Amino acid sequence: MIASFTLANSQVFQLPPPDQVADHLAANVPRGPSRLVSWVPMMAFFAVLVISLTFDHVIAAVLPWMALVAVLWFVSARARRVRRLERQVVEVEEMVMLRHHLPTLERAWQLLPSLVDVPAIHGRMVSCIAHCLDQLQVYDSAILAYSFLIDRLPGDHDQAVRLSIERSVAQLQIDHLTDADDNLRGLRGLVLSINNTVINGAYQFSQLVQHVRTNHFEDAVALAPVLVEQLRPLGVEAAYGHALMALSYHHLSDSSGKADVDVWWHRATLLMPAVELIHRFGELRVLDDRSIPSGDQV
Amino acid sequence: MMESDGLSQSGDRADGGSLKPPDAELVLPAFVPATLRRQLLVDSVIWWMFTVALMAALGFILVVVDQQESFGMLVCFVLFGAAWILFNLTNARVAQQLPQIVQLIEAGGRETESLIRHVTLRRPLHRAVRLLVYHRMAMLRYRQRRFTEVVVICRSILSYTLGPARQVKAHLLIMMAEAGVECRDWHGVGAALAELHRCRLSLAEALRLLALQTRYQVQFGDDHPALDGIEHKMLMADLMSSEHCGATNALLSIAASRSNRPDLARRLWQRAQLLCTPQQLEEVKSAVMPTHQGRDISASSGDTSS
Repeated sequence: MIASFTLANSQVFQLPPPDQVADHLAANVPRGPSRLVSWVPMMAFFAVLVISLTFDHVIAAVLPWMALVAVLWFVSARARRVRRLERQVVEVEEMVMLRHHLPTLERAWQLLPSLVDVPAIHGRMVSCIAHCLDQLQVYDSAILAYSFLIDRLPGDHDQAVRLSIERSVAQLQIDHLTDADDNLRGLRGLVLSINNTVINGAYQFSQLVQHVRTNHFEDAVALAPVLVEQLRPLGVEAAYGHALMALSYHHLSDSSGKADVDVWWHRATLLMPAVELIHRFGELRVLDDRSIPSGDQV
Repeated sequence: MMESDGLSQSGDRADGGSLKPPDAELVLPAFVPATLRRQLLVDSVIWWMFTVALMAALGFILVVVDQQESFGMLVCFVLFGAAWILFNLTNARVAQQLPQIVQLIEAGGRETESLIRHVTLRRPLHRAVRLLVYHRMAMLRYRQRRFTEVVVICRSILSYTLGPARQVKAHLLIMMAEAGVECRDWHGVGAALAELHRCRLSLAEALRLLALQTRYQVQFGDDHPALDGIEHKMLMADLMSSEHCGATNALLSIAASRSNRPDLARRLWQRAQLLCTPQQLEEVKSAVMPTHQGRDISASSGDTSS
């Protein structure tokens, strides 16, 4: 799927295909600050000192002071640049929070090359790119970006586990079922060892997606008794889980299951509009236009 | 350079909320405003003494040494450079430790207290650096739920000219307001909220302000202002963490119930039930109980989570 939008300067930014994402990430691997650039001011400073000692002239006497001023200016300029980049990264992260995915992706894409010498914030920007690609349903590209980050984090790091879960969900979305299954199996032990309710919730959600994608609706429904509790830490994003549970009951439809479909769909649409749910999981379209049970019936 | 520990050893456990047992010896003593005032004064005195001494030394050398000789000027330069580096080295080291302190606070652990204490005793520090260190101390106390002390620290820091430390002003105000809510210091909360409306806020800070203001308005029965722009507020609340989003929905539900808008109240309460645990919802209800007249919300709206 290729979407595009028009920029203010009349350029068109197109959603990048996997090859383009791989090239962009490979070309902008975090390298850390250049050692040469770090040492140049000091080297220049000592060179000026030597010159000052060598020549007995009033200009030679003033040179160290000028060099000192230059070094101070250089150091403060570098610090200002890092602060400016950090501000820009925070702005991009806020745009992600506000779900402006397309403009965010474009901005993050353009900002990434300037972050290669600031590894601390480079990863945050790649994470934004991966998230935006995921939300814009360019799953192949998103998987590449997730993998780029996961490969650079310790395997048992909270963030690595969270990204692995998101990558698994993206793999399930494009029917890479075997890859997703391998990932989720590998994560099971780690998730249990991490005392993080958000990660646990995300893992439960990925399992639910897996059951739905593989048409194991009975297994999905078996998660129902504890699903509200387990998905709660995900906030309004839990709506996707509730909607998939409604879909699972729908596919197992018998007379008793109809009420469950309504209850779960009602929960989902309480947290998120149906149009957003359907946008991410197209198969939920069959549940649209369902009657919403009144409060007393739920 | 280190100074002797002039901080109070009494500890502030009036709120009873410390994570440490009451009889545990505190590594970092309770905050005393006078100590911060004295430390800033000492820093300032050292700075002026340093400047005057340096200028005097430079003047003396320039008078005594033949100015045509570059060696004399070089001596001046080395003297100035060495003194400047000495003075700023402490500040640079402390400034480098500030992000580390934040990470330690988020991770928890006793070493945070010892690190902050160690840093507060260093001198001379620039005013902004010292104020930022005490900002971290406020963060630590907030994490430890020592809200009374948080209010005192934040109020004390904000009473000074922040200068380059003004980047944390909004965060200080938010911490002060949130701690004030816990301490029921409503006057302080109101003042902090008013000041926050004059600050430039990040999105995360704006969300915390929304949660705080909703709590404040519902607490005092300002239900109609609380419900103004309700759809926008709900969208903003959706960006919060699950617990805060649920609590904000629950508070708005109480306001809607009191404003005789039962459908809205029911919808908000059902959302809150999906986002908060029953215990968290009970805490929200009990927090606004003195003015809460809609205690039957949960009964009338149905339970979405069971």
